[in-house]
Amino acid sequence: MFADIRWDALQEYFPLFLKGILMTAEITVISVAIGVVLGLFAGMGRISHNPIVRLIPNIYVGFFRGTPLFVQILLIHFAVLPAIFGKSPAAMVSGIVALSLNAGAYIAEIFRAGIQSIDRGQMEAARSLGLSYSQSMFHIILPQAVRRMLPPLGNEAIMLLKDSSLLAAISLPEVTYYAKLMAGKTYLAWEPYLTIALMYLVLTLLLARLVKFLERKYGTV
Amino acid sequence: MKKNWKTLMLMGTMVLGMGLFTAGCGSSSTTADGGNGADKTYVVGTDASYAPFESMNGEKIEGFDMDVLSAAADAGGFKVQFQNTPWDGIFLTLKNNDRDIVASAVTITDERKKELDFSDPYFEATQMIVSKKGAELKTLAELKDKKIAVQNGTTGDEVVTKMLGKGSPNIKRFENMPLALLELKNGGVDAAVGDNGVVLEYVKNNGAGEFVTSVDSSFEKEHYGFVVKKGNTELQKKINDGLKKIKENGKLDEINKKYGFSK
Amino acid sequence: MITVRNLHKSFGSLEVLKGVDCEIREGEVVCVIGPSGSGKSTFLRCLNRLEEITSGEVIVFDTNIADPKADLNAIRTEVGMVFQRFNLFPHKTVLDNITLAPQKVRRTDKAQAEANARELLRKVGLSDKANAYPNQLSGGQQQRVAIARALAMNPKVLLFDEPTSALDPEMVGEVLDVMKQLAKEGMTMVVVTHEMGFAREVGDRVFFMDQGYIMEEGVPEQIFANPQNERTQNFLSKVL
Repeated sequence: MFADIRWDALQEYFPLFLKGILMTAEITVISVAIGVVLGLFAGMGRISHNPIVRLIPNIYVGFFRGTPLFVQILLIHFAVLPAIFGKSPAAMVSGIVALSLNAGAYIAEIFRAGIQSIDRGQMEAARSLGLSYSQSMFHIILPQAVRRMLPPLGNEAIMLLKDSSLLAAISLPEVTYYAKLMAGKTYLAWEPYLTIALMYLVLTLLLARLVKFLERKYGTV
Repeated sequence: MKKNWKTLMLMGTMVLGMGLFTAGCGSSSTTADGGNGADKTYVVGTDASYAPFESMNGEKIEGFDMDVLSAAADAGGFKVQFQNTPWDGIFLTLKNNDRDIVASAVTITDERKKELDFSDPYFEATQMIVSKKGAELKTLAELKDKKIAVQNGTTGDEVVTKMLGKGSPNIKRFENMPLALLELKNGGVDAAVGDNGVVLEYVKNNGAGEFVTSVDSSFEKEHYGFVVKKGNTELQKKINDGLKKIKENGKLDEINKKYGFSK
Repeated sequence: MITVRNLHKSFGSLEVLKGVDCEIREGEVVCVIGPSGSGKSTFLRCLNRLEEITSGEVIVFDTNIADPKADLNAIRTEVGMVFQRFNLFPHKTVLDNITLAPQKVRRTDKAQAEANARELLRKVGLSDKANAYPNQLSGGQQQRVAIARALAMNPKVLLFDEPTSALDPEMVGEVLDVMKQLAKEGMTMVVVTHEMGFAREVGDRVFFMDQGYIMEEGVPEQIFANPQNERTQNFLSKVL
């Protein structure tokens, strides 16, 4: 019970947990950022009228949405990246690659849905003024679509934050890695896992709060 | 402000709820190992990714530890049933009465003895450094500024953690030994440290020419023991009786010979 | 200015335009009337290729825009369009709606574009709405902004796709007034409309479309007073 909590052990490992949660936040932010760029291109590719342009993003999105993230992480770190670079990259690199690719696939769908939710007349009006397709996308469609995408993008960021715990398997020193380290050394379960659960909870609640705030600020249309 | 209080309350309630839940468990779950028929079957946890000591052969778990414990059980008059269990958290399964015994090439250490009870030793092992040919690393001292892969929570982990500190970014901890050795093979680390039996088996199966193994003179002799929950002296005694018998009747030597572990 | 020859347009197996031929001359106002589903809007949308052209020629200022290689963006800067549902950009102010295309396409500098925009807003009677967002305006006001937006590119011809159909009746007048003013100034206009009064009063010529063809064309007096085609007679007897 809680009276039995080994505060001394927790105290000893807590600095590592703090280090770990920072890494968790860092990995999440970087991966969401790269994922948004990937997702933008893949999402636009998926709504192209050209079947060849559609093919690659379709395969990409299909693969990364259709296979477990954990498997993707192992595949990328232990097989794909070593095959490309001739040696295993740092866990941080593999972690960011895996998480970004996974996020990109989901964000592609968010972009696609967001873009397609904008009335056709907006594109027609922009094109009728002589704006090119990409100008119309950039100035007219995307700014409107992004507002509608904020809630699902926020969800995706929260998912990614939680799923980054899987990166412990490739020894990326994020917070779950340190919790496993503590469990492996002390044979305690409550202390490490409940602690990091609360740390994750704080981060996801903050993130949800941020999304709400952005929604209120920009989500007028 | 009000909302913040609500969030806090929610979290508080959750934590409290968990506490009550465990309290309930704690008071009613001490029976699993109490009732003892003559040939009660004990559930044995083992991380079957540690050839030749334990590995999966199709659906079946096999290896040195299985042979030794089964023989000891036969001799000691009890039954065992093996269950593949991830190394991370394997000792927690004893605490939670999920497993009765852990037989997973566990080194007997003073640190572990504080939390667990061990049988008598049944195997002598040592830590081994494995590195790549052409970039040989032979002593512990040479590992100081290198990246080292280990299995989380093993004696190998302990050895390098003692040297570099538990927060060192140069220690890469993996869930099992094959992944740690794969990381070495892929060049993600400069060396791996693990039990000699497993390292040698891996090197034998993955291109003997590619790796170099070495034992640092500072590495102490280690012994594997079977693990039971702290205070479960009854089961500890049963296992020790069985072990004693197979040591005396030559059965243990026979198993050692089968795996090429001659003295 | 615009010459259409044997224009065909199909949506899948449904043929909407079955061979349209016509000519639109500089400075004239052509009103296109006809029952729903006659292909009027599709015809209009082919004139700046918002609809892909199935076959035939649409020659706009010497360029056949049916040609896949035609520089559509360049043609479209000269062909303004006003939509039934306004299609203002909801995330931009009225002023930004009007100045966007001149800045991005014509490379007009910002101050100049804004000065032009304010002048156009004055012209459509909405000087005070420059900083409003579209959803703060009535339908009639939105449509007048849309006209100003199209005019900001200095087009040589303006296409109107049922510009008053989505408006409450009391707002139709303010939009038609702006259009009449433009006609008076000599703007070339093609207007798909159900406003027979407007067609009769402002149109230089009237096209009656039905079943994917221009069934009859002529000056308004002739079409409205003395239609030759049986379908035209039939249609007018219902709407007048």
